[in-house]
Amino acid sequence: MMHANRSRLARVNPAVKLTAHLAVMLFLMMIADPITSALLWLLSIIVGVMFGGWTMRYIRKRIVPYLGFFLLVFWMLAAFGKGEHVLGQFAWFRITEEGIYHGLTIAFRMLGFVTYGLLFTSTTDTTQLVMSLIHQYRLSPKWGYGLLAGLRFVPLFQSELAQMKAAHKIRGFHAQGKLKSFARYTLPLFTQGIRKAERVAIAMEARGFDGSRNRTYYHTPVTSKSDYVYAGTLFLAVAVITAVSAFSGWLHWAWNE
Amino acid sequence: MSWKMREVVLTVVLSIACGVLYLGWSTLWLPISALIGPVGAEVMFGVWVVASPLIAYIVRKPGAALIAELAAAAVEVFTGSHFGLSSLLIGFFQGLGAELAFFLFGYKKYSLPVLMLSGVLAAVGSMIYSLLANGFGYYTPGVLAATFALRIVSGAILGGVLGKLIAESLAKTGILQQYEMMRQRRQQRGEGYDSVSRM
Amino acid sequence: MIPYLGCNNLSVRFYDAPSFTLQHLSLSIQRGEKVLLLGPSGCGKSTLLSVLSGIIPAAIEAEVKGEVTRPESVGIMFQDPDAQFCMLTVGDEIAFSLENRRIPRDEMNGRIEKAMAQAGLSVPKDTPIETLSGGMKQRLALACLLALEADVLFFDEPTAQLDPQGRQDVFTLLKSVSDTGMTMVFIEHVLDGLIDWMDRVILFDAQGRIIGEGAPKDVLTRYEKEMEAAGIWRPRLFPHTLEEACAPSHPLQIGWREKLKQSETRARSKGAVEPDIYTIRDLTIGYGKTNILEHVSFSLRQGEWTAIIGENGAGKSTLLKALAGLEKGKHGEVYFQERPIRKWPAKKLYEQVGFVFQNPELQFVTDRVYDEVAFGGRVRQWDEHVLTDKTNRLLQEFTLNAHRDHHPFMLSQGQKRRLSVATMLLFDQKVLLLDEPTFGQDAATAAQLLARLEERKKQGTAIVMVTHDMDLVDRYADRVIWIADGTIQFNGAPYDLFSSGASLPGLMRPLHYEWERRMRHDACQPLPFGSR
Repeated sequence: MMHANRSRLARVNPAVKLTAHLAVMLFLMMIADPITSALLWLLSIIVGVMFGGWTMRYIRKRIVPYLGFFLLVFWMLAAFGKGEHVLGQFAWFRITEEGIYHGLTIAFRMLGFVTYGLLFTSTTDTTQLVMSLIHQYRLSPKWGYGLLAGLRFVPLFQSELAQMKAAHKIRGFHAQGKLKSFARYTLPLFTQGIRKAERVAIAMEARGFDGSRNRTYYHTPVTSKSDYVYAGTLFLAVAVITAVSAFSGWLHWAWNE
Repeated sequence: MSWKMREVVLTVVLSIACGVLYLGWSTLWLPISALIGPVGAEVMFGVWVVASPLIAYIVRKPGAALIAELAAAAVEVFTGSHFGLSSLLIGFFQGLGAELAFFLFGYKKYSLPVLMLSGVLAAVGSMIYSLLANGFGYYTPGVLAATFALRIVSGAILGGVLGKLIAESLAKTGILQQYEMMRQRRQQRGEGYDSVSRM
Repeated sequence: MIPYLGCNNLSVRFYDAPSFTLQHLSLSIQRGEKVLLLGPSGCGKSTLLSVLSGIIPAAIEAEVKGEVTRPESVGIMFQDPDAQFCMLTVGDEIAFSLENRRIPRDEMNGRIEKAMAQAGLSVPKDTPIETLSGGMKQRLALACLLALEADVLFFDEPTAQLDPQGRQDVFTLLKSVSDTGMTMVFIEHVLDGLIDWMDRVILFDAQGRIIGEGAPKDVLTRYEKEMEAAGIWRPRLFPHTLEEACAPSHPLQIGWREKLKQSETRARSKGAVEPDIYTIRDLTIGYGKTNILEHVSFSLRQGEWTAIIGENGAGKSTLLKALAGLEKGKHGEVYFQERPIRKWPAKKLYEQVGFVFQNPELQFVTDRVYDEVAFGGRVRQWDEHVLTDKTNRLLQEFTLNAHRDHHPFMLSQGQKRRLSVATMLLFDQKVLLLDEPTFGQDAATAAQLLARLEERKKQGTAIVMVTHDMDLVDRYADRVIWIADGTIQFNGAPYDLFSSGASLPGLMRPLHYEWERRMRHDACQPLPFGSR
């Protein structure tokens, strides 16, 4: 489950935060050069350190492992991407200048996605997010509470999966091939899941839950000025970086090819 | 057609179960991609979209496919995964595609071809996302076409066909009696309490 | 007169069943009454409870004929502690009840605290539910029901998934709730600690008809034969109390003396000393900084029945898994037949060692009961005649022949358990490891399974079982290993453990040992009840 840390960012309304971060990610999808992408990614690190309560150690632990992913994405585009200025070629790998350019762009973009994502998940509490969706995004309580009820099953499924793998090993099932045994796992997992899901639904209704908005709430997240100040500042920073990049001739939009 | 609570919780729980299984699947993705590029990994694509045809097939309500994809993606958000937010976006595009297949038939047909179409359109939706977000437009036309083709086939088979297979084997255990899928079947056969008058 | 709670000429039929589950049932319950519904598995008690509480037809669909009366608000506690909640923390969960009742926000905290106090939950409001034990979860469930301020509370086997200590805690708690005059309706299988404060017991037969009702004492004595035939667990002590039973020549003492004698004889008999089949040396298992088991050493002999006991979380399951080669230790070694277990190839190991999981469904891999039993042989490409012969014999042995073509998931819980044991005996394994095999079963099913296991033991199979049932341990086990805090507290005969004068924290001695202790100390006082 997500838990909020103690930071300025944790106090921002979850729905507003979610929208703001998704908006930045969508904007990132429109940028087609490595430098602007990299700068926008660095912005997320700065926000994390200044408002998200991130320490250097935290960044090392959580972001650095994704550098491997960064390299993979870069490599895929560098070696398989289209381009004319070939730098090297062996087997079916073909490294081009354009490939490197695009590879870096997408790699930084992916890194940006991961970091803005982490910025969100490290400063938001699961229950508060669902409540915020119910109040700010008018999500029906039926789905909001239903979602929370279902989320409780994640650790259960993980432990059952581990047990099934053990059980199959004992029965010698893995001798039949990984794909078949994978398909075998789904049946008990899903059956158990469905049974428990029904019990949960019955229990919720038995306690007077009707899924309607005709209820009172223990948690009522609200939006305040500071939420919009955060969103606004974030967008402003993005705009400034983009302008600087345009001015320095680095900027490329995705639709200018 | 209002959703019953058990249908809501079933949708969430099955999507979550798929989400947990995905975690196991995705560890294979990384080394395969490095070796043969994006094309090779595409064969596995269908598994990522199996939740939507599966749940739509059982529950048979408008919106089921889209919600299933979003719920499976939501698992990643709520469990604090780094890929959470981008999963949401992916889930949205895939879900829209999957949903479209059922919409085109007025939410009345749930046969195997429709399920396969759902997988195909989910692949299309995901392809659109890949073009916009993952820079798939930067691959050579050959790579692009191969990726697209494989993704569509994988979506149809590992998404649509597998979804139906799972639903049918669940039905065999008798656990889906109260859901729309089995009710429609009983109505077709003219049996069951649905056709008996209640006092 | 219209009853406070009840039904008149009630008949219920489910959509996919050809016949009625309940037929022309009438009963009425007064306000403030505590009623226990008793009957064999599958007789329809749960269906009746669902109708009385309104779950049928509101949340579960079925054809309902007849009249049902109930007061305005009801609360239901279910047996699966995890499938009753929808929130992540204790406070939020109780608040959910209040939110549904549209209680104003500023009243909520006060009511939550009151409910928590009544249910004996002294944890912070933001405690995550997943960190609570089974017993605590049921306390939380009760708190949620109390917050509903219902007129009637229904309980559908609320302690079925708890260990004996948790069960007693919940019963004590519910007794205190009953003192407030609440109307309560129960379905339960384990009666000690519950039946003595019931006002009325209603006994059903296998077809869902009422064969008797009245005060608990009367029903138990008058229908003793029927209850035994139906496989209903009978209370160990009720309607007597331990105090009465300590009086000289009380009839219960005959049975107790016999049990003690048998247990002692088994403990003292040496018999032929069999070779060790397992040797565990200085085994430590853990992850990161925490250790589940530390420096555990012991040996198990061939053909021995060993019980592993201890509180939940003590490490029993981990130890059992280590014996199956499923857990790797940080250091130390598990030797199976004198070879380190990790050196055994999986295929060979599992021809010698069978493992029966607590949840039988997790190990099924086929669509037919017959195929399930035959699976191991098919994978090893046995000769078809040999395989058919063996499979049929196993199906007969475990009375599964009638279901040979059914899907494993369609069997009852008891049948599934028998099937999972049967699959593990195809190779006439030398060792059978079982994780709580009698958990949540009625007396008849459990006895059947234990009888099969005892037969196997006589043929030389070593049985190692994790269990909470101390009576089972006393009656069947040759050796008991008690684990607490990750180490072995006792390794020896059950008689020696239970009759020792030492206090056994977290363990509940079988009743006959409690009596013996009282006799020795010459002070007969009412006690909390024995095992189960």
